[in-house]
Amino acid sequence: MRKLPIRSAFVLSALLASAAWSATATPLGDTVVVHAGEVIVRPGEVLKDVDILIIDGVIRRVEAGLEVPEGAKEITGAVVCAGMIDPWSVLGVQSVEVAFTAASPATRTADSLNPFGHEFQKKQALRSGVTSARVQAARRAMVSGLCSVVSLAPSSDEDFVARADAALSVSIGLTNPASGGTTFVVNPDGTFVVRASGPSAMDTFERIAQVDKVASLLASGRTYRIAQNEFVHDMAKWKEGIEEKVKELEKDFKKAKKDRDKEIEEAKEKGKEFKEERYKEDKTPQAPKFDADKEILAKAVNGEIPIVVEVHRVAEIRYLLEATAPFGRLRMVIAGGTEAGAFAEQLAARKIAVIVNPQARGASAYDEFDGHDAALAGVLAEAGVDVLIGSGGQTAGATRDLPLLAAMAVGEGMEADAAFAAITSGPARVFDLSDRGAVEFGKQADLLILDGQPLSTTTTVQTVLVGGRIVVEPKE
Amino acid sequence: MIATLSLFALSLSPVPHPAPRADKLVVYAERAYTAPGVVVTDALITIQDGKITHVRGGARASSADLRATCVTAGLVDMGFRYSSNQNTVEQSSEVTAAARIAPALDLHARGWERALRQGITTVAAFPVDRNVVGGMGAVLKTGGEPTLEARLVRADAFLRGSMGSSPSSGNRPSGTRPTNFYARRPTTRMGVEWEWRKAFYDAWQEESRGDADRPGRAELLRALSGETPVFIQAWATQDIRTAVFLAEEMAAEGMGTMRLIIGSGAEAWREPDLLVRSKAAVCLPPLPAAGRTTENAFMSMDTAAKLYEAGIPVALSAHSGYGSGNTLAEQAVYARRGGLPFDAALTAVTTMPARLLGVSDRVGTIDLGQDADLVLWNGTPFEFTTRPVGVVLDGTPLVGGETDR
Amino acid sequence: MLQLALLLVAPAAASDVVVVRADHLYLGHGEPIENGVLVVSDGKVTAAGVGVKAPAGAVVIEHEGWVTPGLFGAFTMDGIGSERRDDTRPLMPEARIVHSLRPRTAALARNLRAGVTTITINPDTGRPCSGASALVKTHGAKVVDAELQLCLDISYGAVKADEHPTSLASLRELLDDVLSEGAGSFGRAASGELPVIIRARDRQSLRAAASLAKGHGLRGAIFGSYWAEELVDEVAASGLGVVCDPVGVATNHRALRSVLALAAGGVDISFGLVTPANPPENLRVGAAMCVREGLDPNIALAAMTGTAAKVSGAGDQAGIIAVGRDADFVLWSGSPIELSSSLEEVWVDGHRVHGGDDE
Repeated sequence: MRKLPIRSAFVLSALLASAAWSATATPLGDTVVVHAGEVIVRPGEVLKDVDILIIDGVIRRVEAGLEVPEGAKEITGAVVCAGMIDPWSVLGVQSVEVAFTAASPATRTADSLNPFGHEFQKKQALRSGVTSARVQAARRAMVSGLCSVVSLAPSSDEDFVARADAALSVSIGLTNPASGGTTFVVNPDGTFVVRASGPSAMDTFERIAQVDKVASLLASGRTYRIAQNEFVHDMAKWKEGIEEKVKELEKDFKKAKKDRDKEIEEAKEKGKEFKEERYKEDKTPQAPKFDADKEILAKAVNGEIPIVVEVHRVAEIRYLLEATAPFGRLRMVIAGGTEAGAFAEQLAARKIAVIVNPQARGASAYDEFDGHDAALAGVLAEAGVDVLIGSGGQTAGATRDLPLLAAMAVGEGMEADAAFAAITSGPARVFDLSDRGAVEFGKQADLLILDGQPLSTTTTVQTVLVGGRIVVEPKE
Repeated sequence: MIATLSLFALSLSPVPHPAPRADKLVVYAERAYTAPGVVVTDALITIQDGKITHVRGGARASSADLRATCVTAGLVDMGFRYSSNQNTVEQSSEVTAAARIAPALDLHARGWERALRQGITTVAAFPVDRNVVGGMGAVLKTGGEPTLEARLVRADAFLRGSMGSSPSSGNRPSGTRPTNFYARRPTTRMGVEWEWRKAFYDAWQEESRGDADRPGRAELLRALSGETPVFIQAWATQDIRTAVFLAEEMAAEGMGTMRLIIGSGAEAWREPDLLVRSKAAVCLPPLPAAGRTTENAFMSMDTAAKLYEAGIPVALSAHSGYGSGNTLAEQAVYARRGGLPFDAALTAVTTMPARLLGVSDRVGTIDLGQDADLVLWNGTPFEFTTRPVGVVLDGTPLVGGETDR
Repeated sequence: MLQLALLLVAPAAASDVVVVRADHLYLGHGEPIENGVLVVSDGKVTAAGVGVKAPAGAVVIEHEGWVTPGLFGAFTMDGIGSERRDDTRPLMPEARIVHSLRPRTAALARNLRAGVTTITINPDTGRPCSGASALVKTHGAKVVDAELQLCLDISYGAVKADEHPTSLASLRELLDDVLSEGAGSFGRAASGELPVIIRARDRQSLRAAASLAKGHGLRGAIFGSYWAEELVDEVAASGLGVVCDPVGVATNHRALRSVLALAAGGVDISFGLVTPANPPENLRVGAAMCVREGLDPNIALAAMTGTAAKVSGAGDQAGIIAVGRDADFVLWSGSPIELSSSLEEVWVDGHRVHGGDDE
C-alpha cells in the first residue's frame, strides 16, 4: 500500500492519533437516519422502504415514513443489514499469542489484545462488512483460556473489547507444528497429505485422553462450585448455630460464668493447664481456596459462559458428547467440527452450536481436516443445529472473507437465510451479544449499507456504521 | 533565517521514482563544500537537466528552491554491500572473471534506499566475496527509476576478488566421495592465492599462445595490464601483503602493472611502506565496534589518518550502513576524530572513490557539468551532530523533497 | 435447476444429440449469452448461441442457471506424487512430466467435482528448466498434449548453493545462452513454436522474465503475479500472459491488487490452480475475491476458462465452447463467480460424468 506524502509533523501526529479510529467518524450523540430500500432485520425478516432512526449509537426506530429530526445525518441505501460478526477470528491477537501453548482456563485473550494491532486487516474486514469478532489466543493449547468479543471500529479504548470473557475455549487433537513437525506423505496414487510427526503427533487414544482431561477439568470446576455453594450454606448454618447457642448461653450466663471461674481456680490450684471448653460452633467453616482456573471452569459448567471446543474427528466428537453429557447446564459450542456431520441429530437435540469454517482444504492441510465435507454447514443446519460460520481462528486476514465463506456454504447446500444468520444473529445469540446481530429497536447501530444482497460477490458494501458512527465511506 | 527541511519529512516521506526533471532546480547553502579544499559561502547552485550548470557565492537564499546550512557532493561508497545473499556470486567455479553483477542486481532491495537516505548517491556493486575472483563490478546511483538503464554509471569498472579466508570458508575436502564442488575449491589462504596466480598465468599464457578465447580471459588481461583496476578484499596484514606481492610478481614477470585497490584494508596501516611502494589505494571498512573486524584485523579511529599521512590514497566505506553509527558520514566523523583533516575526510568519501572507480567525470564534486548529486546537511558535515536533511540525485530531490516554494 | 430431460434414467449415448438451453450460456470469452443454446453431438459441440434450433430427436435439457465451459486449471502438480522434478541437472528441457503421472490418481476426480475439466500438470519449479508440462483432462486422465509448455524458472528459487548456477546473474546468462543457441526444445521455444511458462517470485525476476521473453521472442506465460502491481507495463510489453498465484481466503491484499493491475493493463490473466496443495475449489474463490475487489466479472470468468487455456498455450485445445471443440461444460445453479451458486453437473466429451439425478 502506497503511503501518502506527509507534509508536516503536525499532520503526522494528528493522523497517528486518529489512525486507529476513523478520521471521518460521526461523533456519538448525533442522530442518523438511514433511508433503506430494503432492510434485512434478521435473516428471513425483510422490510421494504423503511427508515432507521439512530440516536446515540442505538437503533430507536425501524419504520416507514419516519420524520427526520433536525440536524440528523441522512444516508440512503438500497439494502441495509446488520454488521457481520466473525465468531472465530484472531484480529488483534499477534501471531506469537496465537501460538502460545502454556495457557490455562483463566488466561484471558483480552489481556493480550493490541487495540492497534492488525490495523490494515481490520479496515479490510470492516470494508467487507464485519463489525465484531470473537477472538482467541493460544488456539493450539488444549485449554486456551477465555476469548473476547471485540469491536472492529471502537470509538475509544474502552469500547474496543465488547466482552472480555466471552467464552472458555479448549481444543482437542490439533496438530501442533511448533512442537514436532509435519511430513508429507505421498499416497500410491500420487496425492499427498500432510501428517504431524514427532512429539506433536497424537494417536486416537491420546486425543481421546485430551477429552478426558477437559471433562475432568469441568468436573473439578463443578466440584469447586459445589464446594463454594456448600460453604455458603455452611456459613449460614454456622451463623444460625452461633446465634442459637448464644441465646442458650445467655440464659445460664451467670451460672456458666461461675462454673468457669471455679474451673480456672481449680486448675490453678492443681497446677494443671486450664482448657477452654470448645464448642463445635467455634470452628468457622473454611471457604474453598480461591482458584482462578476453577472459577472459570465453574462458570462454564454452570452455563454462565459458553465453552467453545475445537474438535474435528469422529472419535473425539463422539467421546466429547458422551463425556460432557453429565454437565446439564454446559453451553457447548463446537468449533470446526470437520466430521461432525455424523452427529447432527445429537447436536441439535443437545442444542450444541457449531462454528463451521467452510473453506476447502488442499493436501497441505493438517490431518484433522482430512474428513472435510463442503456440505457440512448445510447438513447440520438442516438437522436443526445452530450453525455459525467463522473464518478459522488462525489468520487475521481471513475475517475479511467472512461473507464469501457464508456464500460458499450456500453453494454447498446451506439455505441462504441460515448462512446469513450464521454470521449475524447466530453469533450474537450464542455468545450473549444481545446488543447486536439484528436491525431492530434497542440494538447497537452496527449496520451495513449495500448495493445488493449481502452474500453476493458483486455486492459492494458502501457504508458501514458501528455504534451509529460512519466508519467506512463509499468509495469514490 | 534558514528553513531547514523537516526531519519528520526526511524519515517518513517515501523515496519516489520520478522521471529526471528537465526544469531548473536552485539550491542555496550557507557553505558549499564543492571540492576538497574549496568552500563557497552563501552558495547558489543551479541545476538543469540533472547536471550542475552554475555555482556562485555571495548569493541570497530567496531565489532558491532548496536551502540548507551546508552542501556537499553526493557521497560515493565503493565498499557498499547491497546484499549479503550468496545468490550474487557464482560459486560453481573459483574464478569467474567474466561474471557481471549489473544485470542481476535487485534494484528494489531496501539497501539502496537506506544508502540514499544517508547521503550516498553513487556506489560500487560487486558480488559477495565468496569467490576468489568474483567478477566485474559496476558503479550505480542509489536512486531514481529502479532500472539498470537509469542507474548505471559505469559498467565493468573493476575486477573484484578476495584474498584471505572468505573464499575458502565453507570449503572442505569431503573425504571419500565429493558430493559438490565445494570439495574442489581452495580451503586455505594459500589455495586462494594460488587460484589468483593461476588465473593470471593461464590468461597470459593462453593469450601468448594464441589459444581460442574463453570467458574471463579478456577481463583478467585487462586487469593485468592495469586497464581495469583490481579491487581485492584483504582485511588482515598477511592478506594485504599477499595481494601486493601478487601484483609485484605479475609486474616482475613482465605480465603487466596492475592498478591495485585494497578493499576492506583494515590493517593497511601496518604496512605503509609496502603500500606506498605498490602505489595501491586502500578502501577502509567501517570502524568495528569492538576494535577487530572480520578476519580479526585491527583498526581504530586513527587508521585513516595514518594512511593519509603516509601518502596512501584512502577511501572510506560503510558497507551496508545498517544501524546508526555505521553510516558513511559517521565513518568520516570517526576518521576526523582519529586525526584525518576535514578535506582529506571529504576526499575519502567523494573524490577519491570517484577517481578509483573511474567516474570522476560525473560525480565527486560540485562543479559545472557534474551530475547534480548533492547532500544537504544541517550543519558542518562529518560532525556527530550533523545529519543529511536532503539528497538531490541527478537533479531530483529524492529525500526531503518538499521545496520551500 | 429443473431438468426436463426426455431420457430420465439412461445417460445420453454418444450418438444422441443433446441440447442444453440455459438462462446464461458463457462460451469462455466475451459476455454470457442470455437464453443460450448449446448443441452437442458425438462428443463435440455442433452449435452454440442464441436462436439455435434443436434438431429432431434430441435430448433437451432446460437449465435454469448457467452453462460454462469446463474450468481450466493452470499449473497443477496432480498425480505426480514426489516425482515432481528431476534434480540431476539444472536444464532438463526434454523431460516430460507426463511420464510421472499416475492416471488413477484421486486428485483428478476432486478437480472434476469442482468443475475443472482440463488441467496442465507441470513439473515443479526450482531449476532453470525443469521440463515440459502436459495438458490433461481430469475425466479419465486423458493426456491431450504431452508437451504443452517448456517450464523455466528465473527466480531466486532456481539458484542453488551447490551447483551451477549459484548466482542470479549466471542463471540469467544460462537461460539467455541456451535460448540463443536454440537447440532442441529451447529452439522451439525461441521460435515461438513451444510456449513457455516462466516462474517469477519477486519484482526482479518478473522483470527478468519479461525481458527474457522480449529478448528471445518467447510466447507463453509468467507464473507469479504477487509483485506484478508495479511492473504491469513491462509484463504487457513482453507479450506474455500471467498465471496468477492462487488466491484464497486470507490472501494478502497486494496479491489481489496485482491481479487487478494486470487485468487493467491489458495482460491476459489466468488463475493458478496449484493442486493438490491448493484445493481446486479455490479457483472460484479466488475469482470471486478478485471480482469483489473490482475485477470485471467477465474477465474473471475468462480467467478460469478461455483466457486460462490461451495463457497456458492450450487455446486451441481447451477452455471454450465452440463449434468443433470437445463438449466439456458445466451446469451451475447461477454464475460461477457467485460462491452461493452450486455446481450441478459436469459434462465431458458430451457425457454427463458428475452430478445430476443419476448420482
